[in-house]
Order: sequence, then C-alpha cells, then structure tokens
Amino acid sequence: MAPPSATDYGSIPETSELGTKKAASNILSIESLIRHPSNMKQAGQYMDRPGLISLGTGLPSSEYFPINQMEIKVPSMHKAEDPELSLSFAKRGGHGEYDLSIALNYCGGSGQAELVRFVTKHTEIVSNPPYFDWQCALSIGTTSVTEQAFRMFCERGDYILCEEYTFSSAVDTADPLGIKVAGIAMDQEGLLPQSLDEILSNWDVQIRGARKPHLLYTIPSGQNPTGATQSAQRRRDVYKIAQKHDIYILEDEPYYFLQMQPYSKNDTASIPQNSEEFLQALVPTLLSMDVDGRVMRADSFSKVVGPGLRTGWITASEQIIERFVRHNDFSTQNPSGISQIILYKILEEGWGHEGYFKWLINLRLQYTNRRNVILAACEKNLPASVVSWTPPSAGMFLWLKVDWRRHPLAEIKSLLDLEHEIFLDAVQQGVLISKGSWFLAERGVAAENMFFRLTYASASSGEIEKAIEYLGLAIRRCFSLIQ
Amino acid sequence: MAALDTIALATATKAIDMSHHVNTHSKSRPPNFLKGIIQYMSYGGMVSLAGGLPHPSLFPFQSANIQTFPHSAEARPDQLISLASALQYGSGSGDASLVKWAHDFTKKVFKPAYGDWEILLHNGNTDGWAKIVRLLCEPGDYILTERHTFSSSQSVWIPMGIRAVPIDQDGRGLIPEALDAALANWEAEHPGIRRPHLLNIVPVGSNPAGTTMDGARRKEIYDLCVKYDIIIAEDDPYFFLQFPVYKLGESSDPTPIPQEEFVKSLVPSFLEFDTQGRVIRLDTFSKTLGPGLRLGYFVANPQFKDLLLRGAQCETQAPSGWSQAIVASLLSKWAIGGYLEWVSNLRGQYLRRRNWMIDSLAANFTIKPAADISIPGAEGFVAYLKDTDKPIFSFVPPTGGMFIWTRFLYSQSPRFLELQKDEKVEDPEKVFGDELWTTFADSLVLLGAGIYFEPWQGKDKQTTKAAGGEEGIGYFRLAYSYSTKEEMELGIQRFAAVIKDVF
Repeated sequence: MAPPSATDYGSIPETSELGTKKAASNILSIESLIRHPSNMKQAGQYMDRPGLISLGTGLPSSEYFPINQMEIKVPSMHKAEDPELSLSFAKRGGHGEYDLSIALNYCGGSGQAELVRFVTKHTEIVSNPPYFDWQCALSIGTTSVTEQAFRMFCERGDYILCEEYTFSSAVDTADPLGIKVAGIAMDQEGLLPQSLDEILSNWDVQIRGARKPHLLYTIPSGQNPTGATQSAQRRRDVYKIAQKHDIYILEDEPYYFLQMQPYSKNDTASIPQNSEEFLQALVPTLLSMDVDGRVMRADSFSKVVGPGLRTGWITASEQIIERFVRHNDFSTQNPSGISQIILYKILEEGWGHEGYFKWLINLRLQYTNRRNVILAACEKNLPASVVSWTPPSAGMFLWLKVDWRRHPLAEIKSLLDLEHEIFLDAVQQGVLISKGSWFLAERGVAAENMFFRLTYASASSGEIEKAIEYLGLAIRRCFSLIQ
Repeated sequence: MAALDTIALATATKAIDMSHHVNTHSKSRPPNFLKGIIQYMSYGGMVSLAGGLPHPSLFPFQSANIQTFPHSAEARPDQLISLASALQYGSGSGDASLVKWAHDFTKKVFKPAYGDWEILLHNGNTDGWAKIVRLLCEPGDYILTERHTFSSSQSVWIPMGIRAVPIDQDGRGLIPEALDAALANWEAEHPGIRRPHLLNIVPVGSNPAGTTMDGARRKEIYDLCVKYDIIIAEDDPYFFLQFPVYKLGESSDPTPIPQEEFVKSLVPSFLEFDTQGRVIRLDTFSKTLGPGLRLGYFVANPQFKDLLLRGAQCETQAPSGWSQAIVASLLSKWAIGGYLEWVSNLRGQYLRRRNWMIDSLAANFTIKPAADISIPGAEGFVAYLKDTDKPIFSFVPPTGGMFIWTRFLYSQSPRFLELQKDEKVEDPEKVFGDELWTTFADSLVLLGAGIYFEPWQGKDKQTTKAAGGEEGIGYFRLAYSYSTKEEMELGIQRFAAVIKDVF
C-alpha cells in the first residue's frame, strides 16, 4: 500500500448504494471535496500489524504526561443506598485498556472509539436510522458542528434556510462566510412546511442572485430562541418538503432530552418510570425518519452533562461523516481527551445506557419544574393585555410576545427603539432578558413583532419569581399600565 | 515591582495597525450579542434570564481529584477552580487564572518587545493555525513556508485554494537571503497577484528538518518581515525541546543541567524582536503535558486577538473546561518555576532519545562528517553501508524537537536508476520513494515519507521536477519520541536491513 500522495486531491469515497442516494458533488462545497485524508493518520492503519515499530509520527510517549490518576464522583444511577459513584482512572500504559495514557495522547478525528461506540448504540436506541450506512463521529459541540457544516455544504454567496428566528451564533458564523440566510415562517410548533415549500418553489435565481438553497438548518426541539417544538407530524411534513426539493437537513438538537411533561394546571401526565416509557414520551427525531440519508443530526452533551466538556457527536451517512472527520483532522482534531474519558467512564462504565436514561428522566423532571415556576410567575405578574406566550414543551426558553403597537409611543418610535427601552427598563428593575431582535435570521429586515427570550434553566425558583415580578413592573411602566 | 511595571508599560511600543492583513471573512465578523451582555451581569442584584446556561446543579459532577507528578504535588481542581464554572459556558475567553498564568509566563520567558500583546486560549496548534489562516488569508492566497513543512499545517489551507512559497533552510533554519529574494522578485514572477503576507515557521525543532533558529538569524528574518510587511505565525510546540549541537561519540546519557542554566541556554522567541506586533505565537501544552488536553494559547496583538475571539465565540467556543481546570490547577501548584523544572527534565529525556537514535544509526552504518566528504547538498553526517564505500543518506543531528530528517541519495540504488531511465515514469523520485516507504512498512518499520512534507504549490507543480525538488534525492523522517530504546534499536536495524537490500 503506497502512502497517500499529494496527487489525491479531489477524490472522495464512492457513494454507497442504499440510502445515500445523493451524489456528494451536488451538495458538498469545493473546499470539502478537496480535503484529503491525513497522510500520517493513514499510515496509522499499519499500526495493527503485530511487531510493527513506528518511527513515523511525533507521538509523545505517555511516560512524559504528568497526570497520573484521576477520580471523579458522580451520582449513582443504580443503587439507592449508595447515592455516590466513584470512578477512577489512571495512566497505566495502555495494553488495551482505555486509560489516561490513551486519553492524554493524540487520537483520530472521529474521536476515541470506545466513546463513539457508546453514542452509536445510544443513537440506535433513540433514533434507529432507517438506512444502513449511518455512522457517528464526536464533535466539540454543536456551535462548531454548525460552522463546519456551513463550510462543508455551502459556497460563498449561497443561501441557507432556517427558522425566521434562530440561534444567533449560527448567523454570526454564516454571515462572514458570505452565506446568506432565508428565514422561514414559524407558528407555535416551529418551522412551517408550507412556508418552506413556498420559498423553494418560488426561488428566483435572478432576483436572489444565488442558486436555490440546498441546506436547511433547524432546531426542532425546544427551538432557540422561540422554545417551539415540532410535533412528529410536523417533522414528517418538513422531511417530505426536503425530499421534494432535495434539501440536506442539519438537525441541531441540543435540547432534545429537555423535553418536559406536558404543561397543564392539573399535571396529570404520568412520569416515565423506565427507559421504554421515556423514549415513548419523546417526539421522534428527523433522523428516525431519514430514509434518504439527507440528515446530519447534531447531538450535544452540553445541556445534559455540561457545556464545559465541549463534547457532542453527529450522526450522518458514512460518506458525509468521512468528510466531516477530514475537516476535524486539520482543525480541532478531536474533543479533549479528558472530556472523552470522563464521559466514557460515567456513561459506559458507571451508568450504562439504562442509567443514562435515568439521568435524562431526572433532567426532564427538573426542567418541568423550572418551566412550571416561570409560567406561574408570568401568569401572576405579566399584563395579559400586552404580553402573550405559548407554554414550551421542551428546552430552556420562554418566548414572550409583546404587543408593541399598544405602546403609547408606537406611532412615533420604532420597534427596535421600544424593544431597547423595555430591555433597559428591565435592567433597571434588576432583570436581564434577551431581545428577540438579536435572533432574527435575516438581519436588517424589519421585524413585525416584538419578542423577548427568557431562560428558566439557570436561576433558582426564588430568583425566577422575583425576576418576573421585576419584568412585570418594567413592562407596566413602559406601557403606562396601572399596577 | 508595581512601579517598574508601570514604567515598562509607559515606554513599551504598541502594536501597529494590522487591519490591512485581515481577510474578508474575518473583517465581517460581528460582535457576539449574547457574550456582549455579560457586562450587565455584574450589576448588583441582577438576575439573568438572558443566556441559555444550564444550572450547575444539573451537572452530574460532585467532585474531582487528580494526582500529578511529582506525587507530593496533589492538585484538586475542585479546590482551586470551581467545577461549576469550568463546566459552564463562558465568554469564550476561557479560565481567567489560566490566561493570567500564560500571560505571566510569556512575559517572563518570551519577553515580547511591544507592550499591548494579549493571550487567547485555543484547542492546540492545529486549531490555532487553522484560525490564523481563517483570519488572514483569502482563497487563492500564497503562504510562505519552510522548504519542508508539516503536512497537517498545509492541509488546513489547501482546500482554500492557497499555495505555498517554500523558502530554503540551512542548519540554522530559514535563510534570510532566500526569503528576501522570493519577496523582492514577487511582482516580476507573479504579476497582478498579491504578495504573500503570512509566514508559517516552526523555529525550534522545525518539523521535519529538526533545525533550531538562533537569535541573530531571527533578527534578520524579523527585519525582512518588517520590510515586506509579513505576519509571522511562530508555530512553537517544541520550544523547550532544544538541544546543543551533537558531537560524534558523545554520551547517550548526558548529565542533566540545572534549570537556570537550561533557561539561559534557550534561544529567544520571535516575540523578543517583535516591536510592531506582527508575530502571532502559537504555544501548546501538547508536547509538554499531553496532546489529549487539546489546549494551548495565542500571543497576539489586540486587533488580531479580538477577531480570533469573535471567531471562537461562534465556532469552537472555549477549550474543554476539564482540560482548563486540570491544567490551571496543575500550573498554579507548580508555579512558573515548577513548570520550567518539568520542561527542563522533559528536554533531558528527549535529548537522550535523540542520542539513542544517532547511536543506533552509528551501530548500523558507518557515519562520517559531511564536511570531510564532498557530496553536494549533504550536511551534518553521511551514512555509508557498513564495509562499503557507498554513501546512502545524510542527516543533520537535530538541535530541537522529535525528528531526524534523513536525505537519501536515491541514485545509489539500481532500482532508482532503472526508474529514471524509464520514459513512462514521469516522477521517478516519487515512485521510488513510495516503493521504499512500502518496503520499510512491510519490513515492520514505519517512517514518515518525505513527500508528506513537500509544500503544496498547486496542481501544476506536483512532480518532484516541477516543484523544484532535487533530482535523485528523497527524504525520510524518523521520530525518536515514542518508542522504547529497544524498539528504536530494532527499528533502526530493520531500517538498515532494507537499505542494504535496496541500495
């Protein structure tokens, strides 16, 4: 086997027969198509040969890593009598065991195999993708995945499709890449398939100055910022439109496991008692409907284990995963080895899949409580004549709609000015909220409606109640309403 | 002490305006709204419902404890840095105590010549270099590189349609006259094309050449970069692995030198000459603490740092909180002196390893100083097949890093001469090099093939000839970083056996 050479640019893996019907050159950017495998990591394929000595790569020897042992304590998911689980791992020198000597050294662009196996099994349980050559690869979080995906699928001047209000970082990333955003109308369930279809069916290359978009970026569960969650039927409808127009979907789901008990005053819905009931209670993923292999799903540990881990994973067809891993090889490489081994020890050795689902059930209930607290506080303190909202069924955000036209100065002041006034007044009262305009997908386009995004994830119940009280005062003051 | 610092600040120069270097992509980066409201959070009594931060009580970690070398210095990340903050989203700038440590360390050891330099964490030098390219280069640009360069560094920019301008090196690294000539003649040779404005250089233990650049040479290179307005990306993962020049027959177990002497012996960073803020230094913990940490930092002028931070905020965010917490607590425990002690011992280890490998080469070949023989292009030592007059390769014992770079005389091989005569073979050096690499691999010794390190100069310059490579010459890189002494000796034996066969 000859070492890969500099002449191999432009060659990409063959498409597989079933499922991945897309020819890669239709969707991948020139930059992505040119990416070639790392010469040295390919030489690494020889490493399995018994007796092989490598003088090929600059790997430091693990004897020089100064971290000898690590111990962490996490809640136990199994024994009620023993609430704490102690996990420890040391630098023993390899020989098969996944230990600190491996974690502290270089690893491949798809991440440490043991952790990849766990997330793959987990994905199989949760989504069971309906095509055969799907794979998982680790990421350093969905912010990074989004940036890489834009560069993998778009050229400068292209449009992408996304919800009309979206995660601002995604636009911050797209903008400088010369990628323009076409916002799609939403209702309380999120993305509207009719709006998606309309925009694509009526796409005029001349007027838009760009080819028809082929990438949809969507946050289907607990959408950031609107908190909307697409139902199963809504997702099926979106997928159908994607098929009709041959669109590739980036399914960004950091809040998927923050799906909560339904909101009702009586709260009669039963609490899931085990993983089967939990999984049944969840809205199915787009990945679970993906017969064509046109979805890249981005999962993250950020909201379920901790954002500082900077670890998540993606699921896509083998062909797309290969391109993604090539990209990793020459940028961030892989998540921190420490983050990876910690996750592995907790998830695989400490909790197992069942234990992890138990943890997720616990989170579901925590977020349910927090949501209920903020909604009760809103009902008590916010003037219904001016403020309205849809109770979120997933995620960490509450999206308040403010009827700004009822503001005494609505005739002479702009929406943005009034939005700023309310924002500052709230700050004065002692509560910090996020302006809805920050999340507009199409910046520079005048918004019709005024929104504010609130999170119930971080403050304590007492703080949330106080904060909403302050917000109520601020709004009443701004709108000259009697207390 | 404070008064002296103030005086230093008052007289230190400020970085000059660098905005003309920034590419379209980075110029258009907006400030991050959400990170921008962090200022409001410090208002007394403020409750924030603004950011999407999960509550720390929802993280499953209760405590963490690490044991590090030396065993008596046990660091507890949860005591020195709150796990809750290490595991949370931040502004993208990372742990403040770690940034402060890097700042103090840079000031003490690298001594930047201008005043308003700043630190920004990154996920290791591959990530750091990728971010610099994304900051400064347009698609289709040219980048100045060393004559042989690290393949991963190129793979970052090749997909952007960028090409290398390789600059010749000698035993002290990049040759100033070669850099001057390449830039002076640019307009004539590339009419209408923007002159390169970014230099990627690995000045200590250059990968793969193994050369280390001294202060005087750096001053010359820096002055040229001022003359031609070049930004220097000082890619420096091996900085502390600096070795004295090898003397034939020297002990493979050199006596360790005291830390202070070691620190005094270090060559200066480019930062020491940088009065204008045109150096971006890439520092990493990969080779000193462990590559799996995915942690390092930039030293850069405020303009570049701000744009690099904006990029990070909507891309990689901050490095792993765990890595930051562990490294910050370790470095805080060791203090700068302890870290210097650690790296000086590390350097001793790598020096031994360099000498082991040279000893192995001496055991399997007859080694003679190149100065005593006249083989064009051969420097350092020439290796002959034992009991023959046949020189096969030459090498310059590295003065830094982890690699020995061997320069092969392919024309000593009958097989190569056969390929050279064959009209159907367009690139005999490449074909022979591939065959030889495979033969080594099949004989159970893996080497770094020289072609991995050839700078990419475009599709029309892919053959050895077209790229300006030497006729009948090829290279292989041997790493002494990883194997045990016995493995290394065995590997070199296999290396020698193959050579005996092929040449």
